[in-house]
Amino acid sequence: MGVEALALHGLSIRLGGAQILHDVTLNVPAGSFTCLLGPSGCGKTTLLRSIAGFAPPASGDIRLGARSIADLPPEKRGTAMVFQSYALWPHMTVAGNLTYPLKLRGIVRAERDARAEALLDILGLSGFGARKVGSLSGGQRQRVALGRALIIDPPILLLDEPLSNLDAAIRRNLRGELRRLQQRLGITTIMVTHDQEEALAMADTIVLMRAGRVVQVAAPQDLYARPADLDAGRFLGVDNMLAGRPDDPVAAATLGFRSMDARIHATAPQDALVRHGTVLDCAYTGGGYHLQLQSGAEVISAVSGVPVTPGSQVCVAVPTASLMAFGADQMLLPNGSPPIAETVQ
Amino acid sequence: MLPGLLLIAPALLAIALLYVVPLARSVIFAFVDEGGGLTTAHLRTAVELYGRDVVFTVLVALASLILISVVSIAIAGYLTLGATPWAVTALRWLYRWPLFIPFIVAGQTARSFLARNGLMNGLLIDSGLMDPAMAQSLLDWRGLVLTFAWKQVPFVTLLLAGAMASIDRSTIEAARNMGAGRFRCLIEIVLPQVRGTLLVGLILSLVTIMSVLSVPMMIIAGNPTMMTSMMAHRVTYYGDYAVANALGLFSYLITAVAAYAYLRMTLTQHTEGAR
Repeated sequence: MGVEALALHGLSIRLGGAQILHDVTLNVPAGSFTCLLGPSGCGKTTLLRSIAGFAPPASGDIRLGARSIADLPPEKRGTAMVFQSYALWPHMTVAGNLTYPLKLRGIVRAERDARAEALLDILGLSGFGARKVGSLSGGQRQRVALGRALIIDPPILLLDEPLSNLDAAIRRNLRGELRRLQQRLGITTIMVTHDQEEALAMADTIVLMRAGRVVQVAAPQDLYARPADLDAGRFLGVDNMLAGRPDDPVAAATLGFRSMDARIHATAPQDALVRHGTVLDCAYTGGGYHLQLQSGAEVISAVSGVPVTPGSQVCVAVPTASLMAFGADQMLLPNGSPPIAETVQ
Repeated sequence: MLPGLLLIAPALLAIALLYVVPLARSVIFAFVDEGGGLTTAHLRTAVELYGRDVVFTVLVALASLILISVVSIAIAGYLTLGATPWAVTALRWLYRWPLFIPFIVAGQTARSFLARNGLMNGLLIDSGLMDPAMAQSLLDWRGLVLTFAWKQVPFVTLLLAGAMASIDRSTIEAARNMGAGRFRCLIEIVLPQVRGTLLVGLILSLVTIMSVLSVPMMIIAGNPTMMTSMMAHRVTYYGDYAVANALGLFSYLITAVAAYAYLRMTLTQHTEGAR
């Protein structure tokens, strides 16, 4: 089966009387790696499950390549899913798990075994074929689950938080490995994650979701630099949200920035957002210090290379390029918009 | 040590007085003659007179267990994998009813349902599905198998559906995602994960089938019949406890084989789990 594009059109899903997805429309190009990112309960896993056929849509269409798969049962869709719990079959060996999808397709035993051998090599699990899955470590189980999904050469790969049950170090390794494998096979991949770092590191495109709706679809760099609204910004680590003032370099109702972009200066620099405040707290974070400043009614998070005594008065500045300007409706303002004062006149 | 012993003493005493002593007594009495000496005469009489009944009992029990497995796997499977919510709910309500019906009532119901002029034939003839001349009584081994299955299917299904509900649901979804239809999913993914529970249900059913007296008494008139019937006959009409005990010995042996299979399986699972 070749690599295929996926298109969702006006997809709505109700489960047990609650509306889980509202009118989701999304295009996933063939061969791309797309992450569904969002907080718990935003509907991202339901969206993935609906593509696999485990959450029947109330309305809307799901198209894989040229055909609509919305009305097909899961076994007829040809999507390959990797589950969060891996969902390996405990009564089968590693090889048994890998070859069962081939058995379902009526492939003869000799070829099944040969393909399992080859796949175990690729996964770095040579010689594990006869083992029971219960004897494998988390990382190894994850690889077997991935191998089981890939062995049928599916048109699309669906990953449901595949790395979330692993230790941080293994997770980082597998992240790169998974991305390289995906690029080598060129398979259309959709991954669900609540970990923004994971999404930013792996995806071609990130679909940011909230409360059953798609909030933003963007490349990782764009999403990180220009989140669509205040909530999206907060979710992506924009931890400072200050009310705009007339003399600020960018006109906005709210100005957002990350604390790592806010630095302490002796004198106010040019072309930057400047605030003065009293240091509330100074904590060492390894390689630098993290500060909390009281500036009027607002608290600002900033970083400093040197320790600052709490209670001292400082000047904090954020370069204009690192600022995100949000309007009164909480939406991100387009780049280079004129100051509000001029718009009003 | 002493407090521990005191704590388990009531349970131990109950098992000893109510189970071990009668069991030992009846085994011993099967081999003791009137003079108090050892003899195999009772055993020989039992085989001679009731050999066919022993074979009949084993065959009826096996046929019942096969029917029970097939039907309860089908019901529990549908409860687990069924796609029509209202049908699943209805089935969940209906299948347990026979659990609450005593064997003697089940026997009576089966009698009036399966007889030549019974309800089943009546319905089939009235609906035009059967020629009246073809009507025959099912009150023989078939009636026994059907009644035992009808009584025991809900029990085995209850165990099986519980076990199926507690397996990791995503293993089922993974199989369907990989292309397994619902039937293959049931046979190749769900059933292997609950086969221990199925075996327990079947062994407990076997013990029940071996011990029920009312059903064979009510359904089968002539020979051969179930061993329980024959034991009762021996005791009631001849006061011959020795031969009845010898017959009982066969029951013990049959259930002991099942118990051995069960113990061996749980032990294997334990050692596998410990590894």
